[in-house]
Amino acid sequence: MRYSELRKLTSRIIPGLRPLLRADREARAVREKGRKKNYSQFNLLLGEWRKQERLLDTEEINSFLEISVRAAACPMPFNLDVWDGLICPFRCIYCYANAFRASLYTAFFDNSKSMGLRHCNPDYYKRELDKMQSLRGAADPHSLSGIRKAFAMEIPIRFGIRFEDFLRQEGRKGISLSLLEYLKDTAYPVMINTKSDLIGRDEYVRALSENPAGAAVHMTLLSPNDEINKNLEPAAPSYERRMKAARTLAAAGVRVVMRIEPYLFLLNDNTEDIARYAEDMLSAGIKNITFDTYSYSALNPGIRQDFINRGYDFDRLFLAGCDSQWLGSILLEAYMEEFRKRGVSCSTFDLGNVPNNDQDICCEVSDIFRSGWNYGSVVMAARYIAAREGKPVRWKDFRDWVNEKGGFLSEALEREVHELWNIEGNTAYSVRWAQGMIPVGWDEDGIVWAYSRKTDERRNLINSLKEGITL
Amino acid sequence: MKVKVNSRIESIFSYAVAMDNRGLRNTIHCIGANIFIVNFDHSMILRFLLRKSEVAFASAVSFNANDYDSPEFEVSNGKIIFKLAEGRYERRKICSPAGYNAQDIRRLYHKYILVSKDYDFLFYLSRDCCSLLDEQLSHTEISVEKGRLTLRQRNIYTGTIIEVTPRSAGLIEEVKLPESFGAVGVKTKDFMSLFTLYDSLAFTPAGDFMLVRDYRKKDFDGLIAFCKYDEIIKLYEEEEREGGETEDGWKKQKIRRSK
Repeated sequence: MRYSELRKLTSRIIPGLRPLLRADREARAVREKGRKKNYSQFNLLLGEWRKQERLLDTEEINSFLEISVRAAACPMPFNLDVWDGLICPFRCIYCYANAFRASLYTAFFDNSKSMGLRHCNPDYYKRELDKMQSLRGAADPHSLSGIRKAFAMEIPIRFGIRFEDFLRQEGRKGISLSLLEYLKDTAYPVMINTKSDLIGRDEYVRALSENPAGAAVHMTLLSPNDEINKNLEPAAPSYERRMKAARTLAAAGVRVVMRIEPYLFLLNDNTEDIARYAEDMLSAGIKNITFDTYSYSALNPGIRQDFINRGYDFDRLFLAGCDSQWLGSILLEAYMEEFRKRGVSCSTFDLGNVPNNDQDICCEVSDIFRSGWNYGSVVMAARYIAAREGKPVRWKDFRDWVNEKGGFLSEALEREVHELWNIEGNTAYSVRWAQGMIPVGWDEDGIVWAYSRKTDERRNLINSLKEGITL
Repeated sequence: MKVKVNSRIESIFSYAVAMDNRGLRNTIHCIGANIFIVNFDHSMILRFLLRKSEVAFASAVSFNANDYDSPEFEVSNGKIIFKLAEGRYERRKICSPAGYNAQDIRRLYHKYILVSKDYDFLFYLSRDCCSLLDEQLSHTEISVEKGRLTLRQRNIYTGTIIEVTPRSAGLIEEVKLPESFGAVGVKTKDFMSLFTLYDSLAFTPAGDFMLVRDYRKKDFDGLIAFCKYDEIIKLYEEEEREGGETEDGWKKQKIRRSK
């Protein structure tokens, strides 16, 4: 079914509300925990008033490299935090990272509102990275785990996962730049997620294009319609500016992957806009794109209210594009197909579509890095099973394959992925969501899977739902 | 202004507190002989009429349903103060008024009521039909197919469909129905909540909303917004027009969308 038909059908299944009067309210991502300023408490033991406060370091991030909490599903979970703040200045209304930070920082610290932007200490990061350089290319990474193992396997380091690392302040201070230059000098692969056109400036382009290990930029850009972009991402650069930066990077040989995440039902899915987007990216020399449906983590009253204040029916787009995992997945499949048929290579982290991804790595960078991946993840498991279509695949087959490639990043991660293989644990990331997966048996390690491209529960769902509907 | 309400009015206030609210606020607006409840996302406005034996509100008062604390309250300096006595103590809960005022809600309500007078479809539904619906499914379709009223729910998680149709008089009674109508959607929780206080209600679809009323005691009526099966993600119709400003000062937006 073409996307326009599926969109129409889904619109006939999930209706849109027309309230009797406007329902605008102040939108807060999180109810803050009532921290008081200058709060003191009388200490009975000391017999004196003591100021009660816990202060966040407002100048510097003390963290270092980390393996993402989503590593059980993600093939590229090796993150580095450069910049941080309570609220990202781009103020994207769909972003739940702001809500998480607000919840975390206001719950534990008394000065989070005054923190502004802070950044890591690049010299400290470089010293720590220097200490790990000898691990690279280790003959036996199995003896390692966590970030040391990821570094030894040369899994690309990712910037911009939790915060935008290329804001105006970065342009003045060059913190991310100095780390990119370090990675270039040490020939370590790097991938960036950003919405900023700063990345198209010469010094950034050089730091990326001259990295012998390869570099990629995910440029998040939801729509060519700047009216929509302005509503969704009030302070992020315009479509033209981001596309221009992407063009510059691509011309310099950096892998640019456009990123539509989140796909928002009835909002950034206009067929004319899709055509323009694909045309513009191809003419900019960009042939790769990655997508995802809206995350369930976004089901937050403040985010919902922000959409409502801009006149958008959050409940409708969330029900269609996220709450029903199968429905969101099949919509995304047809949406991706609109790009694919125009010659764009498409992949997604949405598990339903992973078997059909054009590349093994859902970030669309499989072909440019010669480094390792987090093979022991659900996305890779789904790809492994799909590649053996029609044949039973046991956990131990997959586990042995992962071990040949360097092994799971940790024992805990292996246990978690094994649980997801057996539809246990956080089932939102279970192997079963990948379309075409059929449980065909059971052995001592759990479910034996097989893949058939003819089996698609999402199609069964949509066929059932359209009963009695005439379009 | 000091107010002391009776148990019937208290039950209306409690009803507003118990209605679905997603952590947001349903609001209560008392004006003259009317109590209006506006739900959190403004998809319902319900009106309860005071009975002859009940004292009308001397001046209008609006408050958030969740703030309701006791049947005795007063309005002072723009604040609503609920009073509760226990033994030798008195508790005062001081609250801010609701964001909309009662006069505006009443004016809007009457505007919609005027619109509904142009429509004469009518059907009755009783509480029994609610037990046949799945409260967890977000929407319920209402349609008339070959002269027969149908309530339908589509389970977007499993693909199953629930249809509720009249089996015999008593479950769903129908009168003044067209040969075909709809489908239009209503939020299931809105719809089901109507039957918390009433066993049987009369419904009149009226364009973008449905008028609902208690046809027996005639002391309750309400508006329930329809959900539309179109391809528009905007909540408010006025933003479909291009350029200029709306009556309430909002900039109108040009939206590109496929037909």
